[in-house]
Amino acid sequence: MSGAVRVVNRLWPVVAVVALWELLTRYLEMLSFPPPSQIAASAYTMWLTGPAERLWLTEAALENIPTSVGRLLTGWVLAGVAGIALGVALGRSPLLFRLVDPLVQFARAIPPPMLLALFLALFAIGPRMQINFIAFGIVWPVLINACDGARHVDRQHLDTARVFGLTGRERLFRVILPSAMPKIFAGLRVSLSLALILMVLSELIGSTDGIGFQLLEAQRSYDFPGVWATIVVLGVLGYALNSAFLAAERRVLSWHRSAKQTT
Amino acid sequence: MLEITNLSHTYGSGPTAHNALGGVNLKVAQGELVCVVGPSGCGKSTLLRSIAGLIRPTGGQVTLNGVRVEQTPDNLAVVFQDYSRSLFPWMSVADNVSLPLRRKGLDKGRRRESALEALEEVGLQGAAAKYPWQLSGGMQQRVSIARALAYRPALLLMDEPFGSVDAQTREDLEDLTLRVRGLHNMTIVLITHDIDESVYVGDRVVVLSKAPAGIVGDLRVDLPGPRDQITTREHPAFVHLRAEVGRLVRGRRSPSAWTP
Repeated sequence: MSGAVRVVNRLWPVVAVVALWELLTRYLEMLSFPPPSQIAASAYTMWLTGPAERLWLTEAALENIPTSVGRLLTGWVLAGVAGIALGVALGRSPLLFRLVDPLVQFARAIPPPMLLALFLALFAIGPRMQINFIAFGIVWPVLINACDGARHVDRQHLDTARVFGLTGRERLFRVILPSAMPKIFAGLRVSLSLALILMVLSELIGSTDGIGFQLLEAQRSYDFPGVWATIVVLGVLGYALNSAFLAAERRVLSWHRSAKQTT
Repeated sequence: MLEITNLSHTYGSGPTAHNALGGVNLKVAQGELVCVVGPSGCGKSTLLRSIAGLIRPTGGQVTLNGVRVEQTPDNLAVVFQDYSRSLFPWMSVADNVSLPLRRKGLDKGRRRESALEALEEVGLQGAAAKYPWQLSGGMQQRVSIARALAYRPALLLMDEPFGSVDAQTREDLEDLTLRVRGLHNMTIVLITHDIDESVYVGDRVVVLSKAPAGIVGDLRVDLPGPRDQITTREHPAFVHLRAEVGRLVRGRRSPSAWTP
């Protein structure tokens, strides 16, 4: 099958759904459900009617999208580093695990949106609050997966490391971390999609810029196509982030996939 | 060079305690290849783990070149049975072999050189850049052997090293062991449950009883060398020794004592 045929085969349901949606919304004429063509037009004016030397991106696009993505990624990286460090420490130290695990279970059970008030009190409105809020809300999947991965390193791999006298550092970086990596990546992926949600949430409440703020503005001015256009952009962003993450994972964990297939 | 005195080990305590080793005494001389054979579950692995310093035996002691084994000694290497869980799948074959050499204080270039040399000795010079899971089981076990060889241990422990490969590969690996042993004059303790293998490979065969394991036989293997998979195995001395070891493993002292 040629590439073009494959793409058509994969995408025709999307086209069909959009066409159906268009017909339905035109027929029903509800204010809050504008037809996709109107959403597309709105998205176009909102993001893509800028000057040619800036690749036609508007002020709003250049300001809000990179700002939001920047916060999301900063929060995600912070959560990743903290989650891996703490998770591996918990996974390798039974004492630490006994002491800290109840706290972890408690903290992660709190729905992150509920913590927004606390974070608004701790930090003033602005990127610092948003980044900390995102990082705290999404650290748990990484932490718990890293902990689990570090706890379940094959005993024989650890025996081998001991027999050949690897130092603590070598054991950590060459045996424990690589061994826990598949689980850590699973956690990072969940965290990435959570980060998008919390990013929008924090911008809806505690922000004066970003995609979430733009969504709020469109809603306040009863610009329903604008609301929908922003939602579409968030969807595209989530899809792009997930695809980029999967591509990175395929590279880093190529040994894991292949080892699973051959043994 | 290896001296095991009154070694005993009990797992757990109270009514569920399992007494795996019940006072093992064994001396292995420099350059010897001793096979330890015994029924499955008899405590062979416990013995090996005590020698390697991976567990602390509850009684007795192990000394290696006069030094009591407390931690894992730096002049000892182990080839485990399960190569797929002993080699690191996230590292290339060359990296797997050279990783332990960091302990020897060699720089990166020297480590790689030694690794390639060891891989050549086991006939895997072409596989350095591959990953372990790209190789067959027998080849992976060769990589484990190369890793041990590159480490230049005074004592090499092998824990049922050929238990997970097919019969043909097993014979190849037995011969490989005999060959590399000649190259480096290593002392080897090989643990197996295969009676034929113990007689074919060993200079000496030590037979363990069921748990709590004790030594019930210690036979010198006097076979004309060099050993050969076909002729050695049909030699009358081989056939005789094999029967002798077999009786000891099954706990029958002599043919006359046999009762159905």
